[in-house]
Amino acid sequence: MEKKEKKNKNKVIEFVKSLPEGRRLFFNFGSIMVEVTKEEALRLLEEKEEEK
Amino acid sequence: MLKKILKKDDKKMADLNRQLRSLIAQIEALRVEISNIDILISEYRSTITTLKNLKDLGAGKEVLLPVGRIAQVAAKLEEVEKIVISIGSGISVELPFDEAVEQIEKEIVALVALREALEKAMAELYGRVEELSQKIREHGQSEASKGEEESGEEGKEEQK
Repeated sequence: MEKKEKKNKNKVIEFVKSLPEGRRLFFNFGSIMVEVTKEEALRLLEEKEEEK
Repeated sequence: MLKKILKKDDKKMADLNRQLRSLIAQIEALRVEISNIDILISEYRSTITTLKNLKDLGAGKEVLLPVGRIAQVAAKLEEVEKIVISIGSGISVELPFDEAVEQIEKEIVALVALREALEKAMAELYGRVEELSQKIREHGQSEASKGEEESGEEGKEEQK
């Protein structure tokens, strides 16, 4: 299960990296969606991984 | 000696029944998983239809936004050419309309493939259930005939 989650996360990271500049990204903080930059999104994803 | 053989047979029968129960539980779990996938596929298809309808209606159209299960508030469609799609891990991305629909369609294709794989696994499990049931039937029959032989021999000894 954890392996599957990690695989999914890697897929998301790859997808985010592949997005062209100027695409708006949002991160879910609870029920709030906050607009983030690509770098922020990638950092938040990494942090989420480290938390586990 | 005979008791020992019977005990061994009982153990084998219990083992076969345990295996059968385990297979049935696995089939049940797969059935639940497939049903969840079906719900998701239908939800994604409905999302595509809704997005297409909203696009056809165009910007400026008044819509009702659900707030919880019971209330709605009026809102105006401002942008229908860009859609925010959740891509997992808490990240959502704004995509042009066609790309967003394409993304959802890709998800549907992946889910359909997963569903097929699960169905295949379920068919295999059904095959194994059939084999095991046959084994259990055969085992039961051989035990019954052993019991008959045993009671026949006991009868002969009593006659002597």
